[in-house]
This record gives sequence, C-alpha cells and structure tokens, in this order.
Amino acid sequence: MKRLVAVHAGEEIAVAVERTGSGYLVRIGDRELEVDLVWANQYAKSLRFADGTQFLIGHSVSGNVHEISFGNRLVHVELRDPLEMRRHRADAAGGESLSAIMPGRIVRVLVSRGDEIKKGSGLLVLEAMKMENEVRSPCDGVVREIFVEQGQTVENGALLISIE
Amino acid sequence: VKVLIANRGEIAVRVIRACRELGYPTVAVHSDVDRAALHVLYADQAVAIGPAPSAESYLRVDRIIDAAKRTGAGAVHPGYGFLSENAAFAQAVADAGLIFVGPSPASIQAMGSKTESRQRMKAAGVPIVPGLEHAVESVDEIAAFAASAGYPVMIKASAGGGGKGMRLVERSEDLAGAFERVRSEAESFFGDASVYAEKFVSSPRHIEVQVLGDTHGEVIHLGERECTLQRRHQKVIEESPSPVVDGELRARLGEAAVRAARAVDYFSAGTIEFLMGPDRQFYFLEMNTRLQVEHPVTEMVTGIDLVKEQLRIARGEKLQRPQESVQVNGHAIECRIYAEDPQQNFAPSPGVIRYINLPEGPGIRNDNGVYSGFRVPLNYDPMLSKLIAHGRTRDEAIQRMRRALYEYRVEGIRTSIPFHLYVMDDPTFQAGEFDTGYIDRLLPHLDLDRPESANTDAAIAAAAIFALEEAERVRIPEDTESRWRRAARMEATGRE
Repeated sequence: MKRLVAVHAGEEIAVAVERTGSGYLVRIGDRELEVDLVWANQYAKSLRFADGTQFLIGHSVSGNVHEISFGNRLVHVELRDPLEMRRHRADAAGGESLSAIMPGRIVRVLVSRGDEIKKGSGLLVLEAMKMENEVRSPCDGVVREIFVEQGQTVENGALLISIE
Repeated sequence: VKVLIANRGEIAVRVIRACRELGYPTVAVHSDVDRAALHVLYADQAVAIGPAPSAESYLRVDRIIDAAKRTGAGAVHPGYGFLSENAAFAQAVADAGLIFVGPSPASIQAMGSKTESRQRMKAAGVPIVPGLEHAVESVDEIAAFAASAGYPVMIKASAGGGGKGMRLVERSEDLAGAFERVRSEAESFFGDASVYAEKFVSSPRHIEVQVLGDTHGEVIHLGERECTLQRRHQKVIEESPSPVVDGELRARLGEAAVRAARAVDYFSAGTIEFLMGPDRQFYFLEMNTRLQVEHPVTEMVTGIDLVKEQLRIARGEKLQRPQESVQVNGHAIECRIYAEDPQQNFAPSPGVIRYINLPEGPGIRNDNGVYSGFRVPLNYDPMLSKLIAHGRTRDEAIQRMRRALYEYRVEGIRTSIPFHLYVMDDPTFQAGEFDTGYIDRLLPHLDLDRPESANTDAAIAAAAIFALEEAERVRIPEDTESRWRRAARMEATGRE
C-alpha cells in the first residue's frame, strides 16, 4: 500500500493505492475505489471504475505534478509523500531529523516519542542486505516524532525519526 | 503536368491530395525543420529550400522557382498565406514559363490595395461601407452624410490610425461636439485637422462568398461562409451556410460577389468578404485572391472540390457547372485546431506531438498536417489541422462536431480543442446569435476546468497508480529488465 497526499484544487486529500489481483484499490479520503487501468499505448490509457465507468486519459508528469487529460478537460493533481510533508513541517519547526541512508527493513525501534536521548545512543535497527545496522542519534535531545514502525520497509532517504 | 506546392502543413497536404486524384505528380518544398513534415511524406518529390525562418525558405521566390525548374514541374500552387497573394510571385512563376494555379497577377494587384479595390468595387456597383470620399471642413457636410447613410457614423481623422482620432456618433445631437473633438485630436496627434466620416456597422457579422471563375470569363458563386467567430481578428470557427442567410439573401450576396470578381477579371477560386449588419445590409470588405483556410465547409455542402477546380481552371478548362446547378446541401462547421493553450491565454504550444488520435465516423473530415512524433516548429502558423463536421442540419453538424472533438486527442502539446468544445456547448453559439465581438467577450468568462467529480476521482486515481508504478519500476533491478528484453527478442526472432 502506497500512501500519498493528493493536492487538487487547493485541497489536500489522503490517498492510498495498492495492487489487487486484477487492478488497483485506490482510497481517496474515506472512499475506496476499485480501478482498472490499461495502456492503449504509451500516451493513451483506459481507466475504469468498478461500475464500468470508463475514461480515455492521457498522462504526463512534471516533478510531482501529474496532468491527466480527458480530451475535454485537463486535471492537475500534485502528489506528495506524507513522510516528506511531515519532514518539511519538522524542518520548518526546527530540529534534527534522520533519514534512512539505504533501503531496508526496520527490525526494532529502540526509543519512544518524548524519550530524552544522548548523542550516539541507538534509535532503531535497520536491516539491509542481511546486515543489521543500528541508527544512532547525531545529537542530544528529545525524540519528537517516529515516522516508522517495526517490520516496515523503507526506501532510501525515507524519514525515520525527528529529534528536537 | 507536375505540380509544385509552394506551401507547407495541412494546405500542402490538401493540394497534394487533389493532384493525386487528378493524376498529377507532386513536388513538395520544405525548410530544414520540415524535412519530415507530412506534406513532404505525401509528395512524389521534395526539395529543400532553406532554413527554418519563412523569409529564408517558404517566402523565397527564387528558390521555389529554381526547385520547380530542377524537378521539371509545370505548375505552382501557392496554397494560402506565404506567397499566395503576392502578385510579383505570380508574375515570376509566369515569367519562368510555369502555370500559376491562381488568378492573374493583375487581379491580385487590384484586390491587394484597399483604396484601389474600394474604388473598383464602387464603380462596379458592389456595396461598400458608405462614407465621405474626401475630408470635410464643416460639420454640416457630415450631418448631411449621416442623414442619408443613417446613424451610427464614425468620424475619423484623415491622417489617423491606431485607434486614435476617431469617434462613434450614435445620435445627431452628438455630432457637432464629436466633430470638434476629432478635429482637435487630429490636429494635436497628427498635425492635420482634416476629418471624414463613414457609416458604422454595429454588431457586424463577417460573411464571405466563395467564387470560381474560369479563363473564359465565366464566374459562379458557391454560397456563403459564416466567419464571424474570430479571436483577435483571427477566424477560429467557420460554417456554411450562415445561420442568418436565407435563399434570397444568398442570391443577393452571390450576385454582388460575382460582380466583384468580374470587375477584376477574376479567374480561379477566390473569396469576397462582406461585413453585414443586423439589418442584413452588407458591404464589401476585401477579396482574398486565393484558396481560403475554411474552404472545406463550402466543399462539404456543395460537393465541389475547390482545389481540383483550381487545377482544371489553371489548365484552361471551362467551368463545368452553371450557377443553377450549385446547391447547398446540409450544414458544415470547421474548427481550426491550433497548437495554443486556451488555459494560458492561447499562448503558442510548440513541441513534439507524442500522440494524436484524429476523430472519424459519419460526417467527419480532417484536413490534417501533423502526426504522432512530429515536432511542431515554432517558426510557422500554429494551426495543426482543421476538423470539419457535416450534417443534414446545423444542429446535427454541431452534435457531430462535439462528438468528434471528444474523440480528438493530442498529447505532448496543448491545443485549442477544449476551447472549441466550450463554444459548441455555448447557447449563444447554438442559437447562431453572435457578432464579431462574441469570442472576445466570451474569453474573460472562459472556464475550461469545469469540475466533474467523476473526472476528479479518475484523475487522482490515475495519478496515484502512475506514482505506484513509478515507485515499483525504480525498485526493479536492471538485469530483470534485460531479461524481459531478451525474452521478447527470443519470442520475436525465435532464437536466442
């Protein structure tokens, strides 16, 4: 399940998407939509909802702004990573944040929110390429936010913890 | 006869089609950026005539004539735009011993000058916007003119221009004041206080009449085209017949147009443009001494192939049909598809057309000049193609146009298609009640982003799926992809 925040017409909408056997399950806000998407060619796709409603769409993307064309109208959807958004907010609030330096799996989280930590103390354990690596604090401070949980896989650069 | 087409884009393709139907070999000319343009791909021969700027290629008379000589072409079709209304070009073609597929240089010359054409039309009895021929000294002379021509009138500085030194007068009591103000403005802006007056045609429509003349002195007309829908003086949607012209008015318009063409000994296809007021009085504006962009709507309703007629006339043949045999059959509408972004104030949108799906089906015609993968050059007119819909009635033509615009897809660049859809849905357009200012009044309210919740859901879902696929694609190690490729190659070739 990939979680995103869609920005459309100035509104932020929580979106989640995952593959199902035959297509995709897309959650927009609190609604779940079954979606089937096939490529007619590289630039024309057919999108269909569970009730059969079908759209011929074109798609292009620049940065994280997707432009979906329906022939009679264009719709722009900006997609943001919710972790990135939180990181930006944390950065804006001041403080240190830690991101994964490689893709991997969170084996253990060693601290809780609000814990006082010292520079060099272990925060969590990340497993990558069959090696466990302890992620240590770069400074003294208080754990402000933990963005991951035990068992979760993270991408390179994913935000893990912020410290204040 | 081999025909060289001194043009590019959709009109060059259009001319090549007519030539091929008549069995004439064709020669395309092209600038460096148009080497792979559609008109080149459709021609039997193609000659490079210079770099991208028109002034160094499509406007180079010497290079075009040289290309004709080198390929052994016997005739030159100028299309529209570029050199099509250049009398010197028509003359140079004739001087080179080639046939110019168009009127005589003298006809082009006569209609090319505003003052000369106005005088010749007046002499021939073609209605022109009534006006004082000379500057006047007293307000009484203008009052007398206004009384005979009718209000409103426009008082203009003889030396004026750029919208300065003119005043619209709607009622006789305002005349004296306006006269004095225009005189003093004329004096201070242009150092010349002389003024004259013209009748002002309010809420005008732009109606034009297609004529065909042969080299034996015969001229017929093929009815009118409604060209009122313009954006900044550029036509965007045309139709035939006009929703406000009936049989009686058509006969009067046609008769005036034929008289205008005869006055300059016109042969080939030509168009007389008229300005028409709400009172259905019409006035000669100008003559286009060439094929018009919007000629297909006339072809659709009359069944006459204008380009083939031009070629036959150029060969010296007589017109095959008398005026009485010309019939207007149903209704046709044309939308000009421009590489312009209607959501960005119609800014040009050049670039690569990644994908184009041209509409088809009953009553639909595409005069198209592009294809998937074609890079739209910045150097030329942004018109990509013309979409024409023909139906038994105007309503059916509009329905077909809406349907076709819905099928029409262009990816990679922006086009005017959403704008055309908006106009087709507009009640004023549907009622046929518009004047030349209609589009410019519509634009400030143009809302192409009409929210429909189903579309919004589909857009968000599509974007999320693309993002998911993108994320998955990044994670796939490279050798997996090459294994896929290897498998595909094996399947295609049957061996490793």
